[in-house]
Amino acid sequence: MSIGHTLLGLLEGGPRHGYDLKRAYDEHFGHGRPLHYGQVYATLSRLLKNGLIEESGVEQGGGPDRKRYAVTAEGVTDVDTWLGTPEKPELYMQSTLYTKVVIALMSERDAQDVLDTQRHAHLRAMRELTARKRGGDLADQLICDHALFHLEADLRWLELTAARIDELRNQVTS
Amino acid sequence: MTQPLLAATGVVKSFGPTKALDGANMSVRAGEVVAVMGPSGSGKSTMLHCLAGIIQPDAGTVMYDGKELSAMPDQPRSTLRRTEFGFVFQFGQLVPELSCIENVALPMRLGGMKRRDAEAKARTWLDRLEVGEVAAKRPGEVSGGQGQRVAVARALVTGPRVIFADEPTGALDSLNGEHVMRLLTEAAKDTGAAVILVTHEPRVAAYSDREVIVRDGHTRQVEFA
Amino acid sequence: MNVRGWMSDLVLGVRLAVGGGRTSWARLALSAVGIAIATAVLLVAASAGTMHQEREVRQYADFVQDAPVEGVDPTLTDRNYTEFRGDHVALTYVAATGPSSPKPAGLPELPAAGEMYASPALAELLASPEGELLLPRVPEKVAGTLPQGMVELPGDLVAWIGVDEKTLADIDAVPAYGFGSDPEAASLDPGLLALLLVGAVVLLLPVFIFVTSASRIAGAERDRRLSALRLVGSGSRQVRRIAAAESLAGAFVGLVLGAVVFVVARQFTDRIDLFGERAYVSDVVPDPVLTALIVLLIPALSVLTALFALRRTIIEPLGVVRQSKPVRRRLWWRLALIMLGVVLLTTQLGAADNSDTWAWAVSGGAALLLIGVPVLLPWLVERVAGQVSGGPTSWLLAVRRLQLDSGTSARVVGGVAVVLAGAITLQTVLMSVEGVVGLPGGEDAPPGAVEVSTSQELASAVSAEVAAADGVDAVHTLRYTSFYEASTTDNAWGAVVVDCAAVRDLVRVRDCTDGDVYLMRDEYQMPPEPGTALEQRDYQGTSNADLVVTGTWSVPADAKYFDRPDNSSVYATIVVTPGAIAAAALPQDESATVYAMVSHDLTSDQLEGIRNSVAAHRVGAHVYSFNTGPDLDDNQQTYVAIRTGLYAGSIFTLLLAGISLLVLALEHIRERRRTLAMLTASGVPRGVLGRSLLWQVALPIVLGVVVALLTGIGLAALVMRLTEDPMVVDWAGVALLCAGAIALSLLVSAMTMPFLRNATRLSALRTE
Ligand SMILES: Nc1ncnc2c1ncn2[C@@H]1O[C@H](COP(=O)(O)OP(=O)(O)OP(=O)(O)O)[C@@H](O)[C@H]1O
Ligand SMILES: [Mg+2]
Repeated sequence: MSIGHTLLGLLEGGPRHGYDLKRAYDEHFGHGRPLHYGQVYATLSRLLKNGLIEESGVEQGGGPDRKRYAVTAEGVTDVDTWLGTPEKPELYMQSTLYTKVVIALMSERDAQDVLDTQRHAHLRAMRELTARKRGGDLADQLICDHALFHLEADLRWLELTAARIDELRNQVTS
Repeated sequence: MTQPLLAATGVVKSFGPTKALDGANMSVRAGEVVAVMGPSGSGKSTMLHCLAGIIQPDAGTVMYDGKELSAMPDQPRSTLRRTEFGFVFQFGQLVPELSCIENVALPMRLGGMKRRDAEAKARTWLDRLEVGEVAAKRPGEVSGGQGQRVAVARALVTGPRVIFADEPTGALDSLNGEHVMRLLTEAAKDTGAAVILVTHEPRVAAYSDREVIVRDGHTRQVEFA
Repeated sequence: MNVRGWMSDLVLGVRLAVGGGRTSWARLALSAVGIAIATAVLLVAASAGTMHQEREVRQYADFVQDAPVEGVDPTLTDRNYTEFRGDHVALTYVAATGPSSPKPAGLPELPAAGEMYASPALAELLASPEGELLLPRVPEKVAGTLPQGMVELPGDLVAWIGVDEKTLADIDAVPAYGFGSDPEAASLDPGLLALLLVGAVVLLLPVFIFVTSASRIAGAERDRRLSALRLVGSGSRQVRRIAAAESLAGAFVGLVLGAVVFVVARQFTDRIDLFGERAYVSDVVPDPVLTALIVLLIPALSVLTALFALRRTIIEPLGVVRQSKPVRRRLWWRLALIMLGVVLLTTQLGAADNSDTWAWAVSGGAALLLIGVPVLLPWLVERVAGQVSGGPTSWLLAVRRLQLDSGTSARVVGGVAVVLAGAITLQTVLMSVEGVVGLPGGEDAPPGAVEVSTSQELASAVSAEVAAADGVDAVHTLRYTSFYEASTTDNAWGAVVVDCAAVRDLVRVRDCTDGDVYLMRDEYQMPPEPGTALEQRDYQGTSNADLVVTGTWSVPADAKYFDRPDNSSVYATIVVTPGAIAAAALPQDESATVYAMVSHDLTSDQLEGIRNSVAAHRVGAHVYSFNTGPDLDDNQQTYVAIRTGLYAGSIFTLLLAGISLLVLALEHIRERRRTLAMLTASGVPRGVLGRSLLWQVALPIVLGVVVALLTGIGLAALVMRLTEDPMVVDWAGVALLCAGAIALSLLVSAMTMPFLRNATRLSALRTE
């Protein structure tokens, strides 16, 4: 995820301090993984260098991090372009799990075991997400759902593979 | 580790030539939500029916609360199901002629409760499951999700110790399905009831505390830290 | 819509009727059987006219023409009869007086003296051991059997017996100058006609109602299927055509089956008693016009009911998915129908008795009143089900079900109720009309008695013979005569000359001494005053001018009055003991009656023995019996036969209705398999489910019985108004019928239990 574009987007609401930016970012998008200050300042200085933001004054009596930043016209254009460009769908063509299953089959280990273990791990993750979703607000719920749907997709694949494991065995061992 | 409330050991059940269960084991502790998963035709529903004492296994035992369910005659099993268990199925469990509130009050009235008391209690459960407004309607006149919530209310109203749910969200879209699951598991947690949940859907299974996989009539439980 | 489209709709309908696996076959079979039964019954009814005509022709075939014909030697004919174990045996004694003596057309020859022609049934009886006790009375050699044309009904016991001319001449037998006559058009008494009309309506209406319910059997399933067709885009007219074709299929199969049943059953009519009678196979021919009507009417009726039943499903293709509450039924037109019936029956449209309008009004009124039963019932069931609340869970389940769909069960029960109402009406009317019949064991039955009427010459011989017979306690000889008030034209009294022993037994006067005269008072006739001068007359011609006074007598001054005892067996106003009248004052050629007192528990063998004791006198002594033993007389037999027929018919129809009820209940279980299985799974006792099924059948049945009871008795009361007889209700019989209907609903519920058990098995839990 592009932190730069996200900060630019946040600045469109009005000039902010670096500290405010980090707080706003963490609140909406952090989900348990807060940004480091270093990350924030490194990004801000890159944006500043590219002319996408500008300093809009320093608070009296503050330290070096009491600067306020505002988005420039170029910055707004840049956000426009970012939002207008679709994300490239992930193709997931290189699946470790698939590899594990095939290797298990080829080495005559129990491939169902592999799948069961994976299912268990996936379900555990899903359970955690579901629990969080239950406690959280709408933003939490949507972000959890995003993750849940991905995990669900994996699990669906897993069930499909489990159901067709005999066919697969015939193919890889013949 | 606490004593399991409901436990099946070495359960075998055949329907003619098909062996639906072939030595399945499973246990449920009080207040626990267990998902039963597995491919279609693997014996999930059969497992559920054996655990609930709806059918008797050919071999193996089912113990409920220290009593051997698999050795009980039909009459006490029937009573047990009415008083200690609750059931939610995919659809069609509500009596079409009765209004929703009468459906929910039905198990209590069968237990001999007065109609007014039964309906008052039914109403609080309908409200709790957010379907208080359909109380007077008949099942044919409410949506699928509302109907399922009425069914959940009926399963919970007697304060059962185990709730058996066989694909309770099977006929619902994912939003409605999750809504029903959330209400079901929350209500079960509140009353301390155990839930045995047969499902195909991982997102529904995610409402459980743990899962049991049924494959070809065998059960598998993966445990790791 | 083009013809091809029509045809394809019809073909689809027929395919649905026959091609839907086991259930559609079962449904088709049930409605076909129902319609077949109705068809067969209607065909029998359509044959009634022919049967009656043919029977009349035979009845008049041996009619005696006694007007002298020039050049013809008359055949002396004496119509006589005896009874054998309650059966009437018609004996005609004939003797030729010359070579040209006529014979009935059907008889090959007049029987020679000592020979006879017997009907097949009589010949068979006489040849069998059972006929042994009849043989002394008809000992003649059987020269041949009577042809069909001379025996009214196949089972009749008839004989034409040849005797010598003198025997018949002695008893003044009728000289026949020819036999046979055309049937007369008999005009019926209004009461009887009313009875006949109402009877026909009562018996046939349930048949039609049965046709309508038979074509609705398993209607719910059909509705569902047709709704599904509608859901996928069939037009409403198209669905109607498909439904029509479906019920037509049932109607046609039923018609054919019914015709086959009729043709087969017809072969047995001369061998098997129906209501105590048999009919010649050749008589059972349905009237062609009526047959055509039946063939058209039955399919039309079943199609119409199918379409009528569909009116709601067609409007609402979603009727299956969402079972919305049906429209409330209205009362006014139902009541209007019944009121119209009552008005027709009470006013008879002001028409003269027995006129055509009158007949239409009476039968129409009765029909409307009876139709009112199945018409009113759905409304009533709906209303009652809507009102009740509370009660156990099983009751709640049943009532809710009825609230949702009361129509189906109410209609089926309507079939039962109309039969019941009809049966109650017929029974009450019959009871009232035949109230006089007095079956044995009844409180007012007079003591058993056997009378032998004979001539005065034979009286003492007969008296001795009868007295010697087994089972006879005492014998009295009665001589009846008539006295006229001297020099008046028509004041006359019956008198009987009997000894004191007879006075004590028959008139119940204890202190009789020879020479007493008793004057019997009753509400019909005042006896003559003591001292009245009386005379005996012989009217030689027909006019008063020709009369000859043959004797005189006057009522003694000390004659005692007394009231006629109930059930007196003496039919005279003046009772004279021999001492009070000179033997010379009595005409010598009058008849005498020998009266045998018999015990109440006379066996039928003993009775036949008494009859045989005087058999040697042949035409000279004739035996009558009253209330003797277990044998019933003709009237009683007819009554009992009608009653049995009525009960049998009602029970049969009730059974049919029971079958429809059963189908209904099974359909209901099938429809709700899943729900029932779920309820059982969650611990609802099967007993609760079973009881709810029972309530569901029982509630409409009880309402139906109530409606039927009211209608039946009401209709009977209205009919009895026409005949002006007092109404007698056989409460025991009515209770029996009602109990039958209720027992039926219990039975049906019991029979559904195994199916319920099956439906509540786990397999039903699996999603279909
Ligand atoms: N009543 C029955 N009669 C015959 N066979 C049965 C019966 N019930 C179950 N079976 C068979 O037993 C096996 C297990 O059935 P079960 O219904 O338990 O499967 P399941 O896991 O619930 O499948 P699904 O996910 O499709 O509902 C299947 O092969 C099924 O055909
Ligand atoms: Mg299943």
